[in-house]
Amino acid sequence: MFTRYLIKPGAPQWLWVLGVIGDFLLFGGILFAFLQAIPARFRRPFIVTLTFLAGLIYSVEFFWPADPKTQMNFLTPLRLKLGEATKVVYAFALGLGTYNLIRFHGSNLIRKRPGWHNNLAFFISFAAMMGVGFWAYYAPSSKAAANAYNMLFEGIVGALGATMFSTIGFYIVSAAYRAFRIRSGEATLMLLAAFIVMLGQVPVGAYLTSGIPSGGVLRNLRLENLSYWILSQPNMAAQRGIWFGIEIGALAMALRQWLSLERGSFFEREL
Amino acid sequence: MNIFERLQHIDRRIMYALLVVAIAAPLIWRINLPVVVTPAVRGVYDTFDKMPADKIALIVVYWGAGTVAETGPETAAMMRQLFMQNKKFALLPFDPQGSKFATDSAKALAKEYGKKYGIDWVHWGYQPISNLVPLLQSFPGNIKGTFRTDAYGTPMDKIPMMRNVNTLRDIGVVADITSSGELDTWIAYVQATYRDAKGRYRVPMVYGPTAIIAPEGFNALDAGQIQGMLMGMKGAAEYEKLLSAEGFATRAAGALSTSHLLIVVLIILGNIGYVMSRRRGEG
Repeated sequence: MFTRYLIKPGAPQWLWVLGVIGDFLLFGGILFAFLQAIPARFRRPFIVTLTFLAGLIYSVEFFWPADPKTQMNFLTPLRLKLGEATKVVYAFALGLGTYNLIRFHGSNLIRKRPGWHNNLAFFISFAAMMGVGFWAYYAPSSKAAANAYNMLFEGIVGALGATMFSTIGFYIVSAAYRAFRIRSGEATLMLLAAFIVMLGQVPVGAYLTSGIPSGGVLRNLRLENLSYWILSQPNMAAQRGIWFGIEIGALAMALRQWLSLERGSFFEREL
Repeated sequence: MNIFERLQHIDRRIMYALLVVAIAAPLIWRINLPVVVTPAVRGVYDTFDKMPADKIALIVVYWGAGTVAETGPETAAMMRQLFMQNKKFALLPFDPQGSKFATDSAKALAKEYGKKYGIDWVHWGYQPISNLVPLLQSFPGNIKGTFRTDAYGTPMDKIPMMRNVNTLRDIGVVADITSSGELDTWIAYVQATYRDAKGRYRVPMVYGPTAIIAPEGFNALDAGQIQGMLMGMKGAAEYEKLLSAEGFATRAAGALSTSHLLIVVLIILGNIGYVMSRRRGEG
C-alpha cells in the first residue's frame, strides 16, 4: 500500500519485496495491536462486522446495476483491486506452509521420533531443490545448473509423480474386478453401462461395432455412439442433479460464513 | 476351491502382470484401430479454427507428471493446431511440473513450425493454484498489470505479441487443460462475469480434462459454456486425427484399448464364477 508511494518504479526487486513485507507487518501489526487493545467481548463482534462488510462488497457489486456505458458500478474498481490484494495475502500462505513443514519435521528430527529419517529426507530434498532452483534461476547460462535442475525436477520429482499416479491403474483393475458383480438388477444395469462406456471410450469399441453402418438410425448402436450418448445425456443429467445439491450446500455454507453463523471448534474459540 | 470359485478370486498379482503386458505390448507392437472423432473434439478444433487472427489463445496448464500421458498430448495437439494456422497463444500454468512439460512441448513444436518465442507464443509464468480466484478476478481487466512480466522476467510491454493484448477481450479462446476440476471457477469468475466499456464478453472456452473427470464437463458442454472437450487420451487421439498429425495419443490408444478389454474380460470371468456358484448353491 505505502510501498507504491515510497518506492519508485524501476527500483531493485529486493526493495519491493522488503516494502511489501513492511506493509504486511505494519498493517498486520496495527490490526493485531488493535484486537489486543479492545476488550475481549468486543473482539468477536468486530471480526463478525469486518467479515460481513468484506462479503458485502462482493454481493453488492454483483447485484448493483452496472452503468450502461462502462458496464461497471461504483464497486467494480474496488472488487478488482481487492482481487489483486488477495493475491498478495495468498502469497504469504506459502511462507506459512514452509514454516509449518520445517517446524513439524524439525521437531521430529531433533527428538529422533520413529521415522525420523523421513523427516531428514524432507530437509535434504527441500535444501537440494531450493538450492539448485536458485542456482538455475540466477545462472541461466550455466549448463551444470540446468542439468542439475532437470535431474532433480524431471528425473526425480516428475518420475515420482508419474509413478504414484500410474499405480492407481493397478488398483482400478483389481477393484473393478471385485466390485462389478451382478448381485441385483441395478448392479447389472450399472455393469452394462460401464461396459459400453469402457469399450466406447477406446478405439477397440469402434472396431468391435465397425460392421454397423455409420449412417442412418443403426449408427446409434455403434459402441462409440452409445457411449457418447450415455455420457452426454443420462450422465449429464445425473451430474447436474449432483451439482445442484453441491451448489445449494455451498451457498448455505457461504452464507453461514459470511454471517458468522458457523459453529465448530475454530469458530467457537474465545478470541 | 472349484473352477467357479477360482474365477471369483483371481490373484491380484496375476491381474497386475496381465495389465503390464496389456499396456506394454501395444506400445511395442503397434495396433491400428479406428479412431472416430466425437462432436466434442470437433468442437475444440472448430473453436480454434474460428478464432480471429488478431486475438490470442490462452492455454491454461493445470496438470503435472501424474497425468502427462493424457494431458500432455492434449496440450501439444492444441498448440500444434495454433502453430499450423499461424495463430498465437499464451501459456498460463498453475502447476510447476506442467509448466516445464508444456514449455518443452511448445519449444519442440515451435522449432518444427519455425515459430518464435515472443512473436508466436509466450509463457505468462507459473502461478500458484492458491492464487486462482484472486487471479481470475484481476487479470481479465488488466492482463499486463496482473502478470507484469513473462516467465523469463521480460516486461509484457516488450514482448511483441503482447503489445495489443490488454484485457480478456483480446483473448479469442481459453483452453483449460486440467487434471483437476476448476472449470467451474473459470466459467464463474471469467466467462460469466467479464464486462467492460464495450459490454459483456463471453470468451469461448474449450476443455481438456483427464478421462476420469471428463463426465463432469458434459454439463458445461451442453449449456454452451464450453465449445468443445477432449476426453483424456482418446480425445487427444481424435484431435491428432483431425490435425492429420498422429502422435503419442494415437500410439497409446492401442494400449488403452487392450487395458480396457482386459478389465472387461476379468469382470466377465468374475461374474461367470459368481453366477455359476450361485446356481450350484455355493454363493
